[in-house]
Amino acid sequence: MSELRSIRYVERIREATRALFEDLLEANRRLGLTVSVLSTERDAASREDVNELNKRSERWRAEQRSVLELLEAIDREQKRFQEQFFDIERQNANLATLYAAGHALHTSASREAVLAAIQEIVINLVGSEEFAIVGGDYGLTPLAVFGMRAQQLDGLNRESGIIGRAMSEQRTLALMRGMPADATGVRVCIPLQLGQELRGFVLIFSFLPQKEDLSPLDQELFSLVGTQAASALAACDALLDRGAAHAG
Amino acid sequence: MARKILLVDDSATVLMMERMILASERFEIVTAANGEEAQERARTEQPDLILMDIVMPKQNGIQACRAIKQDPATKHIPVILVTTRGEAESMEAGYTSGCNDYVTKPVNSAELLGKIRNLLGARS
Repeated sequence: MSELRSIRYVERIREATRALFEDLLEANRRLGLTVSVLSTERDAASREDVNELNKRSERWRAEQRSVLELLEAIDREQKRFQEQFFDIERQNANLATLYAAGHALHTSASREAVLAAIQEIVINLVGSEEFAIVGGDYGLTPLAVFGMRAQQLDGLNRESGIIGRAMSEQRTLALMRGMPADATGVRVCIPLQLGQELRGFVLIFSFLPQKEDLSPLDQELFSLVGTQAASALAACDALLDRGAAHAG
Repeated sequence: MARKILLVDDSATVLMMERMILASERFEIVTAANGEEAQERARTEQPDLILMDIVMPKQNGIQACRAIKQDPATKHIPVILVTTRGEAESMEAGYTSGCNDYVTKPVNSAELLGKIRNLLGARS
């Protein structure tokens, strides 16, 4: 009897153990399924986040590129304005130089003062320490000589080399740096011409060593000296003639 | 307040040109025609900078610069000398006299304005 009870007890235990084992298997299967679902969901969520971050990063990069392009454009514009500013400043200085030169030539009725003004212009504004102002006569009578002896002009006349050409062409002739001077040694010949009337020449023999070459401003100065100095000298002579007539 | 610059040159043409070039910067300009007058004006006007030619009657620019730099009342004023020649010995004489900088003739406006801005900027 006791043995029969023991056998039934063992069978119940075995049955309960089997049921528990099957429950455990089922629970394990469900857990596996849940893990699998969660894992899939997690992977999907990560991909979306990464994609979103990549998109944002690309947007920022594009924004950064556009800001850099904008900065470069502003920089270019600033450089352009700066160049314009310097250009205006240079033009202003050139005009100031021309105005000062014109003013100097016309502030006195004295022939000596006009000759002094021409010298000031050639020394300070053109940059030469070796030049002469000569008359328009055939022998080029020296009116003022600076940084050289008047004797150095001996042998020159209105037809000599660059002087003759400047007279016949009625315009300033100037040799740029590197161009050899002719036998006269003159590098710039400015005819002082009032209409058809030749009143003299400014002959420049050399420039200051630091002067690299002739600039457009120099050409403007030559032109201004050529016409305005001739006009100022003519005015002085006219005043002298009038004074002499009154005295007579 | 406008910065004051003392221009020193015996040439009225140069003074006029320099005055017009500096006008764009709204400097207050005072002038002198020789070295002696420059010293006197430097003391009385107390300019922020002196631009002075070297070749002048009575007292040349180097002598005047030396005197200005030795006078306690004016020694702080920066001096730019305007030289005719750019050779080393001229520059050495200029710097020995105490000048702060130099420009050569014919004056290049951009170079001159640059040096003036530089010295006035450094001083402020």
